[in-house]
Formats: sequence, C-alpha cells, structure tokens
Amino acid sequence: MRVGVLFSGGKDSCLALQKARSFHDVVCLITLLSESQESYMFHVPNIEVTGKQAEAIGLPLVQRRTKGKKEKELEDLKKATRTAKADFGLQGIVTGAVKSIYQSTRVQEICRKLDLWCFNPLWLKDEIELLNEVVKNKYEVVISGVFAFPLDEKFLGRRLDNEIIEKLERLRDEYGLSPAGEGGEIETTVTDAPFFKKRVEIRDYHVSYRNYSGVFKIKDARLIDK
Amino acid sequence: MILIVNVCSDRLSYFEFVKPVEDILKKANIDVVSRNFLSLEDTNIKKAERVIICGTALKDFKYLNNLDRFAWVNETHAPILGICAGMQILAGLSGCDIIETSRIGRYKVRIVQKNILSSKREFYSYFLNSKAVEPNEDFETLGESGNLKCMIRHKRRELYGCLFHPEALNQEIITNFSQQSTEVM
Repeated sequence: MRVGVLFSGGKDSCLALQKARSFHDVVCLITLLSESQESYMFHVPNIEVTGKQAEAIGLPLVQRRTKGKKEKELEDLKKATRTAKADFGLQGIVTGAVKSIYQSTRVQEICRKLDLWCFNPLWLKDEIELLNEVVKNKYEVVISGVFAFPLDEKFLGRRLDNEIIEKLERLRDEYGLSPAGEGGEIETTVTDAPFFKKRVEIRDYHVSYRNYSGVFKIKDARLIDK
Repeated sequence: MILIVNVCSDRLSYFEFVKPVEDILKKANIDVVSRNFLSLEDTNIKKAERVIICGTALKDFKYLNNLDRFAWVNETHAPILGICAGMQILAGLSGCDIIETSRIGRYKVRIVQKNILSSKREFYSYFLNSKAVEPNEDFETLGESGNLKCMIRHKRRELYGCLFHPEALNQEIITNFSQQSTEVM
C-alpha cells in the first residue's frame, strides 16, 4: 500500500514512519506548519526543520501553512492530505498518535472522508517502552521544547538517552508527568535515525525559557554524510 | 490462558488494535496467546480459557467477508469478548443485522443492565465504527450510547460485545472479563 506519514519531525512520527516502512511503501511525508504556539494538533518547535529531515530521509514533503486555530487547522490538514493523495496516489495515512483521542479522532475522520486507510502504530503504547525503543534504535533525538512543571532549562537541547529516560520516569512517578510528552509537556526533534540517509547537524540554535516553558530553536542546520 | 484473536487484514494495524489489548493483559500478569483469525488452529481454541476478538481499521472488512472462519465461536465453551469488529462477528454469527453507522471519537455510554464488565453506571468510551449491530432476541443490551446498542451479552452463553474500544479509555472492561470465573448460566 502507498502511504504518507503525518510528519512533525519528532520522535513519534519518526518511529511511526519506521514501523510503516516494514509493511508498506512510504511515498511522502505531510507536514502542517502551524503559526500558533497553542496548536491543538501539530507539533510546533523546529517544524521548519522538517524540510531538512525529509531530505535526509529521502522522501518528498507535502507542506502546508496553517494558522493553528482549533478547527480551521483540521481543514488545512484535510487539504494537505487531499493534495498528497492526488500527487502521490496515497491509499493510507500513518500517524504517530499515542494517547490523544482528540488527534486520533480528527485524523480518522479526515481519512474516512478522503477514503484512506488510517494507521496509528504507536496507539496506546507504553510511554517508557516508546522512549526505550527510540534509544535502542539509535535515534538522535534532541529535546526541543518543555512545557510543564518541573521541567527545567537543562532539558532543552539534551539528547534523549537512557539517563534522561530514567529522569523522566522518576518525574512521572513523582509529579504525574507524561514521560514521552503525550500531553504536550515535551517536544522533540530527530536529527538522525536508521532510515535517515544523512544526519541533520545543528549549526546554530537559540534557547528561550521561562516558568517551566521553553524552546530549543534550531536556527541553522545542514545535512552531513553518515 | 487468554486467546486474543487478531482480525486485522493489514499487519500494521496489529500495533493499533491488538497490541494494546495484549499489553493490558500482560500488565495484569495474565497469560496471552495471539493469533490471526486466518491462522487459528484447533489447539489454540481448545487451550483457551477465554477469548478476546479485537477490532480493526475502519476500512477493513475482511472479517465480515469471512465469517465462516469463525465457526469455532459456536463450538467452544470458552467465554468470548468481542471488541468492535469482534462484536459484529459474534452478533453476525447469531443472525443479528450489521448496520451502517459512523461514530468516531469519545462518546458517553450508559449502562442499562448490571454486568460483569463494568460496575459504573455511565462512562466515556472511544468509538471507531463504520458499522454497528442490531441485536436480535438472542442478545440482551447491557449498554447504550445514543441510539447504538454498544454493549451486549448473549442470553444463554458467555458472549459479550463492546462496540467501542475499551483498551483506550476503559481498560477495566478487559481485565474484568479476563479475571472473571466462568458464570453459571
């Protein structure tokens, strides 16, 4: 089946892409560039880097801008998906949804309307298991956003590894934090993975942080050989 | 041992509809064996103390076109819980009408009859349906959501159906079913 992956450049959409490749022909990535910091649907920090990531993976990218307003962004997603279906002959869509009923419901609805299969290979996956799978698969993942107590500035720009997973697990037990950031507490950017043909090298960045909310903004990146 | 029957025709759907149910049972220290409905063997069914038939993707109807592959449902004495597509299979084998519908998302379920699956009077559940069931006289309705009969039970056998996906928001339904001792009918 020819499928497209809803792609934010974070760990979830990358892991979903990797799983989809085992069973289907992934022919494109689809990204919504949200102008809103409070998008209900779409990952925001470093979303512009998806162009570089798609190039590193070697897949075409269908991008569409959205204001990120609650229901309007769904219309924009539908339009982007319809374009991808027409241009790449898609039969199905793959998402990295893990826990969000809101996200999953909206994408399922769009797929139903466009007569597309919908796959959510990470659906309800245990969050620690998910993080471990990412590290075990040797992904290079940068924490690019923190948006919850008690996540401090030190998390920003840190690479996801076993030490960070243990720390997040402790914060889950102590504060009820979602360790994989499924409530929007943490955002990530993937700079390398087994299916990347090139690595994304971060050349310049800017960190902003205030009151348990911060972003590691990639200002300049380039692709390098692996 | 609980036998989990996978009805997904696409292997990628396993992660979405079968693995979450496996994970819930494994977390509760319950032995699980999973098989696709097309590769089920007699020994799998004979060894099963209970059976859960999982759901599948909205566009997947292979299970409905192969109802004859579920003839074992009428031969085993093991209690069976059918989730979404699984409920359609149990009902379809008993001659109930499968009707077209479209219900996707989180909806309220109202319990209308006391049952072993849930002790709550109402709760929210995750629905992902393009088809539903019109239960016949062999079934009693346990729960409703709007005009849908979304939880049913066979009157003479331990066959239960949930039209929604309890693995998403109502995991206790899966553990309650799996940890019950067999009811006297």
